[in-house]
Amino acid sequence: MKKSTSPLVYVVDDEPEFAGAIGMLLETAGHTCRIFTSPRNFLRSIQPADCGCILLDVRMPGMSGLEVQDHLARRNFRQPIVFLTGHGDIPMAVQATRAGALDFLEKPVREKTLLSRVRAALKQDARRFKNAAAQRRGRQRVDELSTRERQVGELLAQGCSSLQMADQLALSVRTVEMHRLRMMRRLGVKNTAQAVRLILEAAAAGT
Amino acid sequence: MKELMSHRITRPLPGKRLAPRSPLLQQLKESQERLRAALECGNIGVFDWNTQTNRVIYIAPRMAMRDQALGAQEVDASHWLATTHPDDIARARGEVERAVCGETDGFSMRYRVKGPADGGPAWLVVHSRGKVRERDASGRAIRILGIFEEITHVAAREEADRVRDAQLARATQVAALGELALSLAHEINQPLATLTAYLQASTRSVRQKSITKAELAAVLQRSERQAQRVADIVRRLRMLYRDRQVTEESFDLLVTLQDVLHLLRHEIDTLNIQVKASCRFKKLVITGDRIQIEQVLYNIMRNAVDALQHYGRGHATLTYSIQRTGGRILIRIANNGPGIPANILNRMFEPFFTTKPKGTGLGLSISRSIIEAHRGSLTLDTTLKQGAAFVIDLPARRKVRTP
Repeated sequence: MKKSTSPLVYVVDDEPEFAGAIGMLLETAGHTCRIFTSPRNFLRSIQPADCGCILLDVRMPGMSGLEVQDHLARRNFRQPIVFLTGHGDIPMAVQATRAGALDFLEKPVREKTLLSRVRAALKQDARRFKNAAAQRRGRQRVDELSTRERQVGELLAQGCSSLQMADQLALSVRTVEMHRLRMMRRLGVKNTAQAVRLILEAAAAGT
Repeated sequence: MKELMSHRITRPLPGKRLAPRSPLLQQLKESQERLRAALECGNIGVFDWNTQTNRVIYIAPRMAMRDQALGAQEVDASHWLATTHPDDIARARGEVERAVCGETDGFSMRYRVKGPADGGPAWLVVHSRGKVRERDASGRAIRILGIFEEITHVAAREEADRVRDAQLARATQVAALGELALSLAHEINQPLATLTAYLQASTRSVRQKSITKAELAAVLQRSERQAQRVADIVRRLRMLYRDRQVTEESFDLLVTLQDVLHLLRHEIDTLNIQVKASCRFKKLVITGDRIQIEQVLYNIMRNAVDALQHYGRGHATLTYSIQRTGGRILIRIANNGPGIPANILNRMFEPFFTTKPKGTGLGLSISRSIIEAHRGSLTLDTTLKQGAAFVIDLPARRKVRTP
């Protein structure tokens, strides 16, 4: 996750003129584009940490848009995909949407439709990034807990009361309460439920 | 004729009655037996027609002459006409007449005769083949000998086949048209989509005042090129559907070649393809259908350009050469692309065979039929180590048939 998070719109279409024209249109709406006329080059270039969305042609020589989508999914790439197609091919649209495409647009595409879909796609990806960043921060905070705080947190996640924790850890209830308070503060959470979520997420990421 | 055979046989073959008393009679009997076997096994009948007496002797096995034993009978030839289907009489009579008067040596014809009165089909189809054996001094036939066979079931099967073939051809045609329409729709849609995006982008940029005049002019020029592409496609469509008859005119092949290259200029420029020509003529007039020849050249050049699509920039080369040897003109169009895989070599000219995701598979098959209609040939040069080459061999100049 070292790449910059300024969002990119990837335009993948074997027709260079079309890709260029779409790129130009997107730039007038303030987007930054990267254009690929070869699906293979695109797959070599995109990184999972790249923030952005993908405008993907369906029929391309060598590799279809659906195959590109499949490749990305198998590599766990999450950038939203909007398909652009020259054929009103319903089964293909169904397949693409089932496989997680955000939308399936027919060429020539209306400016409003295209721009609103791209905005929606970028928003979705930004959310993904925000969530990912929040998770990362949460994990980091859990890692920074002291041994006692962590123990208290884990018991909390198991649903133990302070009294039960005191019993299990052979500490006074007051001490447990103190560790618990410090843990909440370090995690930067307002309530027990948030704390439990962070701890469980960190545990899940750790396994 | 069939009806004739359905009469009771009144006079059995002579050999049936006579006891073999002499070697000659024995031989005759054996000969009769062989004839009978041949007729029975082949399910055919024999006729022997004397045109002077106008009597016909028929010898027929059981055949479709339902339940009639092998036998012979003699009837008046006029009886034949009485049992023949009215629609077939004129044609059958004509055939016979031509043989009789000496125009032909004999006849081979199909016609319908009345079916047996006791059921079955109303008309039976008979194939009759006759040969003139004797003629008089004036050349008129005296004796015609031949065979006939009932082929109602064969004719019915042929008719069914014909109907099925016609249906199949029609279905194929409809499918081909659908396919063609689909591929055309896609081909037109592609530049249209680009054009739309250019116009949307330039409108926005002008509104935002974020584009210079020079930039805008460049975009408009590109837009125009896209519109031109649509026009080219429509032009080709017209070429395809213009009167399919080969019209003959004399035209300069080199001009046509230049026209085709012009149609492909956009792709050639975009892909940075080098076009190399080898031709020592300034002008090369040939005779044929200019539009169709243009279409063939377009198809082949287009294939070459497509083959060069993913080739390293600056290395892609399209070569054409024109030679004249004797009365033939050889046009060779080659590209240094990836070549044609051996496993599809013999399918290249099949209709609907295509390796392109957006192709119809009709280009080469149409091209070949056009060139063959011009008494030429379109072949693939399979001796190449790299790339692919097509060779069009056309007669240099034919006489233009004046109507």
